[in-house]
Amino acid sequence: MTGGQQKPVKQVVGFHVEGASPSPPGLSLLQNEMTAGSPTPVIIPPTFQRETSHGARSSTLETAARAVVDPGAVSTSAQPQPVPAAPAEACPSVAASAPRPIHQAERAEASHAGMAQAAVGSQSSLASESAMSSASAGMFSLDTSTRNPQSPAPHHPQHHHHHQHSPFAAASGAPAPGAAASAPAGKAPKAASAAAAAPAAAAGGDGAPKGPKPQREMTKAERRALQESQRAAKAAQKAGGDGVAEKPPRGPAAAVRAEGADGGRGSRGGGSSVEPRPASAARPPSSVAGGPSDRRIDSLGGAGGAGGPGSVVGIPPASAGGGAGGAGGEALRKKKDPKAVSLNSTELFAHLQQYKRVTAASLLQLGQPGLAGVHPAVLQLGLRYADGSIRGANARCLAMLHTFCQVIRDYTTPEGKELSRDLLRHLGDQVNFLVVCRPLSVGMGNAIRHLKLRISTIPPETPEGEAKELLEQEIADYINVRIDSADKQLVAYAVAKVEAHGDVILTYAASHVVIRALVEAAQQGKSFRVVVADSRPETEGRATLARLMAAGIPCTYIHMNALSYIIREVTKVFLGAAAVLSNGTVLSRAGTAAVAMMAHAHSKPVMICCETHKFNERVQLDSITHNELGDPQALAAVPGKPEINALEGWAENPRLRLLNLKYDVMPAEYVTMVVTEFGMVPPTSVPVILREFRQSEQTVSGPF
Amino acid sequence: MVVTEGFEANTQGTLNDIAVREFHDALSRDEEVAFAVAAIMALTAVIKRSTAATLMGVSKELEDAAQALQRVNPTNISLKAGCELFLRYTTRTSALELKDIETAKARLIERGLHFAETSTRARQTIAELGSRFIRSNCVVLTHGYSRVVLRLLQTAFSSGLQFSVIVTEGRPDGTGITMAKKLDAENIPVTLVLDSCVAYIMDRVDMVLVGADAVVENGGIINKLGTYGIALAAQAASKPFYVAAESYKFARLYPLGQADLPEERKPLDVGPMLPPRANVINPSRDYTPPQCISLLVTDLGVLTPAAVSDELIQLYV
Repeated sequence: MTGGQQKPVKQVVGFHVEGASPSPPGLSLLQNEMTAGSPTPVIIPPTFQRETSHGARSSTLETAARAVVDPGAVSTSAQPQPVPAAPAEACPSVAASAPRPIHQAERAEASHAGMAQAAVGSQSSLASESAMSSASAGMFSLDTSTRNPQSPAPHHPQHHHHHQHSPFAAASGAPAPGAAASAPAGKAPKAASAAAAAPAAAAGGDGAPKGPKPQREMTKAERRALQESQRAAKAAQKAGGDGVAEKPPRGPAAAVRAEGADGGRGSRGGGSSVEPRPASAARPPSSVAGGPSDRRIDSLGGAGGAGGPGSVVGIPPASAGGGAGGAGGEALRKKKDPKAVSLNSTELFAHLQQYKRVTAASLLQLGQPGLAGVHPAVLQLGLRYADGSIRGANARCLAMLHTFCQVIRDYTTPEGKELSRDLLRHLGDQVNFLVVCRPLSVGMGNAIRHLKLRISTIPPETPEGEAKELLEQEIADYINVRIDSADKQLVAYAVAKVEAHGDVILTYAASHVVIRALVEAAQQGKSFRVVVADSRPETEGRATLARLMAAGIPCTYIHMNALSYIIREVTKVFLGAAAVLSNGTVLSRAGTAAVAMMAHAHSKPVMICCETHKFNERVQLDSITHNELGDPQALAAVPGKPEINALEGWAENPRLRLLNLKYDVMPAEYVTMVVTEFGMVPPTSVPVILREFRQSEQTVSGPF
Repeated sequence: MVVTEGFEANTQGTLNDIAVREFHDALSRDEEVAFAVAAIMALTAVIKRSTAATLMGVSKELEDAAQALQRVNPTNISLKAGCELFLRYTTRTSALELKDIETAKARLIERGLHFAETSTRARQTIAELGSRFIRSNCVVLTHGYSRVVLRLLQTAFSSGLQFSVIVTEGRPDGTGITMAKKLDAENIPVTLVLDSCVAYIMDRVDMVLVGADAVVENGGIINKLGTYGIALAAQAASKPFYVAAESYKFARLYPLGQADLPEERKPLDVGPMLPPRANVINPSRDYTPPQCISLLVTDLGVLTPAAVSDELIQLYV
């Protein structure tokens, strides 16, 4: 981050203390660099101390040099030329004095902390008008370059320590105004030219060829430290990305990515790949960044926003690799979103697929190339997933299987291809599209795996018609055995656990198996009442309420805040599940874990109703590693209550993130029993059932 | 004599009579034999006398006979559990792909006898496995009269181990006193305490060892009233709680709480000195959840409560 010795750093990092007395004269040099002319001291947080001292040292020397060279040059206005010269001289001397490996390592660390600072720095660049030179010159190179986007990036070739920062300093500087300029226009060509300018500037700048050099000169540990910091920066970018949806910048992003993709791919491998990487590392969280799924979504959104054919990246080639994505993302560094990463709580969820609204309009804009190979029934299914008209683990799985039946029916093997392999690829395309619309549930994943296994074991000489019939039969069997019949048996076991009289059963949100069980119990003449707990934003409990009341069951409806009040009346709890994992952990709608915990604390038995097709072999210990992010906007608005508008315009607030998690995870100790189609099992027995299935799978697929 | 004219009902009636008779014979032959084992022997006899032409027919006859046996003693859970397990074990079709019914029946009888033999030997197996848990000079707390626990303690003592046993009195049916007498007859040092003394004495105890009427699906047990309280006290005092139970006691039950237990026909009699209008709740059994149980010593090995379900699933799924 220190590559910007080129310009005086104008900002102050850390906390500006108003009204405090001026610091003692001993620090006056420092003060002149650091403040906007006011005598108030500046408090630098300890994390930044080291860089500060470095920068302080360098700036002290710098000032000294400057004082020698040109006493009047120290001013509050930006003076790119003289100042860089001085620090240029100053820094090498600093460098020479400091032992190099430590210096390098600290640079690497600085780049990690520095991205935050850069964020802060760039933000203050917005805020403060006056140019200030900063003691930690390198850290604030970004905002200085923002100030002077047109000037070539590095001014001091000899300052090679900071080169890894300068390229992206330039790149960030150029694209940012480029993006900003094109943002209102939202036109791909303009963005393209701006974006073209960015890589050009970056390439043209001295920093570009110098970029790899420091890498080679670094030791392995330092390189690793640098990589870690870049990875962290990238994660921070992703975090910054969600919730701040802006279409126009995505257009340029997609465009840049399309162009940068080639450059990125070309430049990947070898030292020059460092260039886009450190670039992204330096980036403060921007709205577009992140993993392949992000890029997929972004490409859709971006294409939708830009609308140009040139900006169509298509449904992801995962080959649009990290470098390209990073380069594209950094092009979008939003002026609005420069906040320090450490303030961003959704950084924890940066690894998840970020929410992106997929609508028919966005798909239409994506055009045919983007949706190549996607069956129309799958398109329809995906849209229904995206808008929430099909929800719930079983419903989604069933709908998907029926749709795949249709897909298989309409499929014809191309010339020269083998059905088993080509159909797998075809199915994979459909699945990829569905994932874009909404991430797969565990049940869906299991079903797809099962289907793919069956497809892959079809002997090549089987005639196509027969193979297709076989597969359709396979799907029908799966639905029949693992879902429909399983439901019936499960309901029978669950009903057996409802007392004849006097039970008060607590349930949460909507699980169709639980609803069926309760309705069946009522039809068998058992008299009980139900408490339906519900929560925003989905309020799925209302559907449960409607169906139970239609069956004549007396109900109580509460939201989560009344749980501790109502729990004393409850005798048992029936909950549904999206998945049950190998260690007995239950994955279910967000809020279920709280209900189970409350019940456990009051010694109420908790029954999870889950068919075995939703069992999964993985182990999950918390709700963070695997989860799904929903639409943050749903948290901001309350349907039917326009007067609740405190969160209006939340997207513009850089310090505010809304987090809408769909699932949560409850540990096995809260679960009394899991009701499956094989009977009631303790949560610890899930791996046993999985094992039994694995064994029977092996015997079944044998004859194929 | 029942005239068998080939009517199925009659034949079944005969078979049921045979079963019940065998059951009583087995019980009277050996007073130590468990109800479930006697039932298994009776069911094996039914297979021998069965005239069914198909495997399904044999299965059906066995089921009816089992029902008849359970009518003899409806509240005994282990009897029901043993019958169900036996039926399941013998009619597992995956191993019976034989076309010839006679061979199949012979195979079934073989399995039945094997099951009966394993069950008879179960107590011995448990005694050998469990006596390793008793250390020199340790104090064992037990509750109720369990023949398998008795056998375990006898085996340990006869191998030269020095230890003492604390027995709860076991009111109102005095089973604890019976146990104390039996232990004393073996020269094992025994101490008798009141049922309510358990929490008091828990500090001096090194381990708790009880039998079970039934082992339920999640690894919990159903045993004489008072077992749950002892288990809670042991858990609070960090003492290990061991259960000695034969594998035919594994029942397909999954109680959610104390109220969810199978119905009892004859709750215990508290005694004559009751106020006229007082309500009495006096079940004979309670349910101990798996969290309180450290290990179950069974003839299948020493299992954790979670492993019980594993065994049951392997058998039933």
